[in-house]
Amino acid sequence: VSDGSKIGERFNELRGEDVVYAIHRQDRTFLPSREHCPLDATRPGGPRTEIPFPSFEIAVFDNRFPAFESPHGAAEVVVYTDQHDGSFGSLEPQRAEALMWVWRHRYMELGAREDIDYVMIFENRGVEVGVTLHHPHGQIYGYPFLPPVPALELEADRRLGGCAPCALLKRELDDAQRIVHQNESVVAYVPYAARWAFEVHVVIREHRPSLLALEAGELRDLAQALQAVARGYDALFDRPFPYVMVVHQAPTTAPPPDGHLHVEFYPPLRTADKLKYLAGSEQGAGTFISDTLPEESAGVLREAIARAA
Amino acid sequence: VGERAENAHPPERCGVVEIARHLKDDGRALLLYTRIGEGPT
Repeated sequence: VSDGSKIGERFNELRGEDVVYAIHRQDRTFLPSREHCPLDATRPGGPRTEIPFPSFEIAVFDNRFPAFESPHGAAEVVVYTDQHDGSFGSLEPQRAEALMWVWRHRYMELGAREDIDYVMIFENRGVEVGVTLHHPHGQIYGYPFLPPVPALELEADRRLGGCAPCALLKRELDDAQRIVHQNESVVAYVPYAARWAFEVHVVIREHRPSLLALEAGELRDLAQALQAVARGYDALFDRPFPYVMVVHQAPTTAPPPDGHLHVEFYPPLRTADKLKYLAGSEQGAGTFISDTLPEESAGVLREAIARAA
Repeated sequence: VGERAENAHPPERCGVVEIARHLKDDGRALLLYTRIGEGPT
């Protein structure tokens, strides 16, 4: 950044982590009007959008305002539908299943690049988590380094002497009181030590390092479970429920370390109209202080998911 | 509408989706995925 390039990293010694500077993003499109959504299809005679076709199903393109870009990472936008209104949860089940295959394809292609060590597929939903475009979409970052969270997951594997998500899933299944939804391939639960009031982890039952290892039926079941959680969230307080949804997979360094595919939801709401802020303890000490017990959150969320089914 | 299709070869497939690759005028990649049903990965 200091040498004139628009993206750069600096290592924060006190935190032991990289900070990415992408200063051109300050000018990115911010909550445009309905008629000027850049993620709509391009209507004949209408404004040109990011997808210059009159219709499409799922589109992926390089972010116009990237946090990373080749040959030092990647930043992609994944548009779930050409319908402006709606959400991930309201997609037709077949579209959600197709999206799993799109995610899989992007993980495969980006993960094969030498400049990408970690592929993170995610969705920010709601202005509460900083969304700047309401059209249903997610993003993919290809990090040119291993970020702290997946590094901590590998450390958890070492600490537990094997796959941590496998061990934690067994613990949750044995306990059962925090499970909110499950199907043949997937279990969703509020984790024992959730940071957020309605945090949910959606975990593949079998040990699968990444989307590449999932069978077709597991991809279908994953889509079903993710949508069930998203719809349950909306039913919980009868309002669009903001969240950050992140797909956790094995890093793509060579040789790739292990991983266990799971998806984590971090919703900032703790009641219908109150947000959990990252304040003194969370930012200054790194310790989350929660106002709710995961077991109680799981109970009401489980009912909401059942209502929304 | 101005974008260049890179489909010199048949569209790729990945499971239930078919992939069409395009290049936007500013050089950015654009991939369009269309559901086609069950198939080889």
